Amino acid sequence: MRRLLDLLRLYSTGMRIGLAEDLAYRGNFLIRFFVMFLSDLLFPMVALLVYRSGAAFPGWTLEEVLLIQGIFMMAKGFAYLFFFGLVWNIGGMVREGLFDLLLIKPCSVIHLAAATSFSLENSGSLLGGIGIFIYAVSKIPTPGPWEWAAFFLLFLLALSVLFSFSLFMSGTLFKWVGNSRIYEIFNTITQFGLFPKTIYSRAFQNLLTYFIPVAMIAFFPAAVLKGEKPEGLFLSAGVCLVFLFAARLFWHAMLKSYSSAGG
Amino acid sequence: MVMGKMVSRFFNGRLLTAVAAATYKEWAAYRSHILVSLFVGPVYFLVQYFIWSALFQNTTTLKGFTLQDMLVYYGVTTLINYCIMDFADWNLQMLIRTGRFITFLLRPVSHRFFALSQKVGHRFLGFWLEFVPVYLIFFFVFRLPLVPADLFWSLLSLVLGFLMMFLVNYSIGITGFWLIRTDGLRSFFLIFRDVFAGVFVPLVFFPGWLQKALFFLPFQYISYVPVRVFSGSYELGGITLAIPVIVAIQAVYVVFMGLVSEFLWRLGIKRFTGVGV
Repeated sequence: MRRLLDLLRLYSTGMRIGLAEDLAYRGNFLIRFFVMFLSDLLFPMVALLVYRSGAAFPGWTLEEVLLIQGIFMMAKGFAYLFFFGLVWNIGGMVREGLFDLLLIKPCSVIHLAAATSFSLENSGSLLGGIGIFIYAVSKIPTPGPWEWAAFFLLFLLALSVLFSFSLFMSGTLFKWVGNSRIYEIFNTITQFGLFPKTIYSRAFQNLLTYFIPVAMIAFFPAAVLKGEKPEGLFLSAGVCLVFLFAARLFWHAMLKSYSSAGG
Repeated sequence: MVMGKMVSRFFNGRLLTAVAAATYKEWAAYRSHILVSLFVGPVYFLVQYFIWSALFQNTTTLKGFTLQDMLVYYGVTTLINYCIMDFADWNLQMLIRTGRFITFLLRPVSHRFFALSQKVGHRFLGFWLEFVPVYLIFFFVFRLPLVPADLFWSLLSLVLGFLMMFLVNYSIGITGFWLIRTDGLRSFFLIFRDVFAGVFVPLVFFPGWLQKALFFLPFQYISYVPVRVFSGSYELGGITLAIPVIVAIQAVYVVFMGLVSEFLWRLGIKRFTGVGV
């Protein structure tokens, strides 16, 4: 209980500092907020343009595709706001040889790195996602309480997948010092999650469900909200937990290779 | 004499090769960063392959594109972006913000030409480490027929796209003279640039009125025009043009953008105070 309170205090302090930093350059903050909002609307925009041209993913209406993309944006927006910053925080500190400063602090390095990277400008993504999600949900048959309960459970798993990715990425940066392109790798892999899983080949569907659970970020939560029970759901939920465990192991193993030399 | 001075102000062969070679060597030390493209490019293309294969299941053409045309479009867009990729905007605003820009004011060279030379060196490295391997992957693994309809016009359009990308980005970087933090504005412009250059979806998918407006904006000349020249046909907003004509218009726009960047430069440089030195 005390540990939880300490964590809450840590995050609230991080959020206060992050907010103060954002408001020091208010104009820039507002534009960045708007840009985050806009940039994540790119994929829904492409879906809209393609559907307007008369094409469609077989078996998927535009609203159903937008539902997947809205959930994806919400999960990513939430992750960017609360914990994904640990990747660039750790990456930057390792590059400058300042990571030692985190290691000597009397709290979890991962949580400290995440809490001190809070920036409200990242909430643009979250807001955009919520907007698209509300629109899409209003266009599908109204989900019942069980669908909503299953959705929230799977959404938590989606966040765990993104948290695992952040651990894999920040762990890699202990060895691959200063590589800003790690985000591109992440964006490329998770891009598969922006579209219905059924458009991929069987081998890729299995890969995205049972090995790198990208389908859990949006496809599975969207499917249960539609009242479906897609194939591989329960196994994939277990894979998410294994993925998280593997990410933690990986991060701690990579931490051992931190040389404190900068890059 | 005056003409010679004018030319040397905007072009200096020795400076170009020296700065390009230095930049090439500097970035060659970070090869692994550039080699990330060998993963990102083909995987991004793979996603496009699945998307468009699914979309073309019930139709043979979309906005005049067959599935093969669409895959070639994304393949060529990816490859062209390796050739024209640029971060002159980030570099310039960083130099202004930190005050390090003052060292360029003391040198007898144009910073814009210096930055262009850096880009040449950087993209030369990108050509070997990104363009060639990804081209081979597209050609042999995805079996994409990536052969230009006309090599001369394709190369010329690519060079013009290279210059256009640089001039647009450099002009965005110049805003650093007015603003302390330009990250937001830069990101905003970069999104618009990529969307309206046809990086995410061919411009013919946009509504007709927007396509007509895009014809007059500089963005299509960065990527969309070189891609269409590569394919051997150009069409936007109901306007169909022969390849030499659209390349000529692209050249005019490059000159126009050069003038815009010069104008912005002259306005901005008066505001530089060297704070941060």
